[in-house]
Amino acid sequence: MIAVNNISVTYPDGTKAIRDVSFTINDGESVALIGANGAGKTTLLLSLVGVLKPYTGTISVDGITLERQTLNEVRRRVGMVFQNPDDQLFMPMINDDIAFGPRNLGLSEDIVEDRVNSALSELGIGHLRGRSSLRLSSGEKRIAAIATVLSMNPTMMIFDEPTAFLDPKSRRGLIKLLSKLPHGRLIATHDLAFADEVCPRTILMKNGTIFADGKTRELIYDARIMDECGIADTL
Amino acid sequence: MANIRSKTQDIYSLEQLSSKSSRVHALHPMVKLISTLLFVVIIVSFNRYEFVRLIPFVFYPVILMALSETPWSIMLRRAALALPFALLAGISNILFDTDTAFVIGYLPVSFGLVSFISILFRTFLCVAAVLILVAVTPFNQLTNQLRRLHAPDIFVTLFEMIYRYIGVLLDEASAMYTAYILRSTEHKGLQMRHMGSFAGQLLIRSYDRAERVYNAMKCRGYNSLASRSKVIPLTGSDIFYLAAVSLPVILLRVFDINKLFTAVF
Ligand SMILES: Nc1ncnc2c1ncn2[C@@H]1O[C@H](COP(=O)(O)OP(=O)(O)OP(=O)(O)O)[C@@H](O)[C@H]1O
Ligand SMILES: [Mg+2]
Repeated sequence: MIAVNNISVTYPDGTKAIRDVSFTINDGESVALIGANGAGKTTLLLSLVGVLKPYTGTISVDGITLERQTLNEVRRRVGMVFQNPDDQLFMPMINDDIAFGPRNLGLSEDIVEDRVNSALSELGIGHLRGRSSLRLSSGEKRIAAIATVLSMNPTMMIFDEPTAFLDPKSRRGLIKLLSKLPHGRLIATHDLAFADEVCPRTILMKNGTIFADGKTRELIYDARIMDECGIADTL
Repeated sequence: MANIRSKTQDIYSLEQLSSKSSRVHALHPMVKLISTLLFVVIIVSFNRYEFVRLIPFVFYPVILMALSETPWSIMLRRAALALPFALLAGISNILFDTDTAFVIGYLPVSFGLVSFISILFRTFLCVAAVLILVAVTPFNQLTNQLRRLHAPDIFVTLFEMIYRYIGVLLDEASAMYTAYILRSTEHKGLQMRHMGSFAGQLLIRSYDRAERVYNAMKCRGYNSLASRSKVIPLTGSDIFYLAAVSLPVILLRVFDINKLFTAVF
């Protein structure tokens, strides 16, 4: 479970990107995070894994409050899939990339190997094992990036625009795949149809604050609400 | 420059071989590291006019390449990258060391030429040994062994970082270059007057990118100081390999095998 209480995040240049945001996400719950460009989605996700530090408010994961000493503990529980897979895949070979997290957890090589294998098979990308990430398609990279997080056995996964760069077929594949995964998750996305299919609940952001938090169906079909958040294109 | 992407793949192409499974791949990484270090140290320890005595050392790359099924084409291409440096280092010897060493027929051969050839050959042997090591040992195992040998952590981390970021840098460069070329149809290649801003942009962009990559690494528990790894036990074949490589190498260093032969026959 992730509980966020009244956090505010300001960038060093003074930009107030997040203002007094609170919400909770329960285990196994699937939540979409929707908002116009610059609404603060990425900033919010980065603060959940302690890459950015809120200047007020608290974040806790499974009852552990995020702070310097608990950083590793929190990151073990919350896996973040970055917006751009190229940022996540940096090892020469995919299997090394997937093994990277488990190795950092100090697991033995046998267990690391197990984790890699099960992540690969769970996502159905066993054939990518020894490949270089430089040679993969965008869709393959996306799935591989998810595998690098899955191998850490997180309880919660957060995604930053997972359908970006995907063609319709890969996008469909991703939707299928996400609905199979049991993890609680928060997914920042501009893809309303995707949110509708994958996430029963939606948090709507506007200018760094939460504008609405409720059932996806009720929010994204409401032209007035979507318009007010600067998202013209309702379903 | 247009094919930077394929160059990037080239950088890691040797390492991709490291996930193969041959007898050599299965050996303990420490054994491979130590035997490579020994080989390099011994090659370097020969005096600068030595050439003939170095020839038998070719056994090392030849046998290892065969055992590990590493393709010569990839290896030679990578070894060729070191050639310009060796040429540069050797050329001054030809120019300054002009005393005659010996005469072949009527042709005087200078000490400079001998040491030039020796430098080239020694460079080839050392580079080949290191490349084979990289081709048969996964990178993270190598750096772990370096740590266990008490190499300063900061150097090992730096080494890991450079190795990984070089891909990031080249990737960024190739994306920028492609975008540039597509918008400058009448010119071929990067123009001189755009060089400065291109380099500046590249620096900033790869810095940004490196930062994001680093964030993603941290999110997966990366902490350079706490690189823990299980201790892999040595086996009989590891010991055998170490002996099989280091004995001939040391013997060839101590005894002049060519002299022995001429003495016998
Ligand atoms: N490194 C930074 N330094 C200063 N300001 C930043 C930085 N990163 C983002 N911002 C600002 O913070 C605000 C929120 O940005 P953020 O990236 O979180 O938006 P987003 O909702 O993810 O947008 P998008 O949909 O475009 O990805 C924006 O006003 C942005 O300009
Ligand atoms: Mg964003």
